[in-house]
Amino acid sequence: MTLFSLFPRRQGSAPRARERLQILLSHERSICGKSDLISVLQEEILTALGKHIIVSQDHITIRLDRGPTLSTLDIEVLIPHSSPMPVSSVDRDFGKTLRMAHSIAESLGGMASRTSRYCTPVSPDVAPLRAKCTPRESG
Amino acid sequence: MAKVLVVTSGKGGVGKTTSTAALGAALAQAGQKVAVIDFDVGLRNLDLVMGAERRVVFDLINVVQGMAKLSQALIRDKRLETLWLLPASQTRDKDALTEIGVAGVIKELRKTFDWIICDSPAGIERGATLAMRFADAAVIVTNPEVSSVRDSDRIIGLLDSKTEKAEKGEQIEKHMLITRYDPQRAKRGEMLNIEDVLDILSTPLLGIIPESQEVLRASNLGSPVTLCNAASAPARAYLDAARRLRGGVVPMNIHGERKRLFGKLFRRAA
Repeated sequence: MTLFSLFPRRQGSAPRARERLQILLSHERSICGKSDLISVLQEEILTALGKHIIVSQDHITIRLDRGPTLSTLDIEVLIPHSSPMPVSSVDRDFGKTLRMAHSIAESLGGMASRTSRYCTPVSPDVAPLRAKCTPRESG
Repeated sequence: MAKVLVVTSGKGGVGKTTSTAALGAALAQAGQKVAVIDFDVGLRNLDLVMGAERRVVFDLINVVQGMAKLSQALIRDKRLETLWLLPASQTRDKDALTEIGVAGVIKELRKTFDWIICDSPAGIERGATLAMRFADAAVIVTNPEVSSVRDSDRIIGLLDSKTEKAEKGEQIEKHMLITRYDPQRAKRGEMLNIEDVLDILSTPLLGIIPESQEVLRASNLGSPVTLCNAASAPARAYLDAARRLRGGVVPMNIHGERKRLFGKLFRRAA
């Protein structure tokens, strides 16, 4: 035991501030940071897929990560195993959606923003169908 | 080519007006032609901080509404030949500010100035959104404190979605300016440190302005801190930040007050 330990020093509060901010902002960014484009995409993809399989809004995650030279559009659709459609036809339809996403992603090239960080929980009874489009690198 | 810079924060009282005056003066001290515009309609203060409060005749709203020419409303600084102020209206309603009107003013200023610095009001209402609307770059003023960091995050989101540049698909340059920083408290874990703030907001750092009595002294005297006492710690930090804005590579030092020998021997009680 040292002399100093007799007088316990107050713990710094900054780490707590940092932790609280990180939790709060990751939540707020997913609400406020969601651009109109993302909600439009989500709706259109849902409509396109809805013709063939039953997918709920919650199973589609669209993420737009904008970087200074590169932006990525990440679309994740979770298809329940109980879905009535065979996966092969889903793939065909999804190809269309993918091409659409590609053209959008290309038009976004060069836009800059920060990366928003949030993750989607994947439950074991659903198979993820993931499409990642990376637009051309822009000047 | 002219550059339009918005000084913004979301939260009030973090040092937007102080920083606008200090950066504007620092750029003018380097020979640049600078116009600083107060967008805080109804609560103008940039005129006071710059010591020009008794020289205001026409203001931004008068120009926007075509009641005065831009040249009539611009006030030239008494100390720096290349520094000009466009004050906000103290009596008019903030709704008198229109997007077309502001666009016209900025367009005209671009013709003759190197830098147009827009001092944003606090909040995310009309004044704040119009101050950032036509900006090429933004200085986000943040205190190392939770509410300020949260509001800055919100403002960064708006800069990336609501500015003319963002809507065109272009990139708005963003810079963090951390003000009222106390390195001793940060070291003891009592204050968010620079890395914490940068990590949370993931935006590049423009400068660190240390907490200092010189800032209040400068505003008492109506002089931008870089002019009031250029050797003081906050002045040196603002001068460094201005150099970085112009593309200079300046090491990121946290400036401290240069204590005299007497002061070092007998630390004054706070």
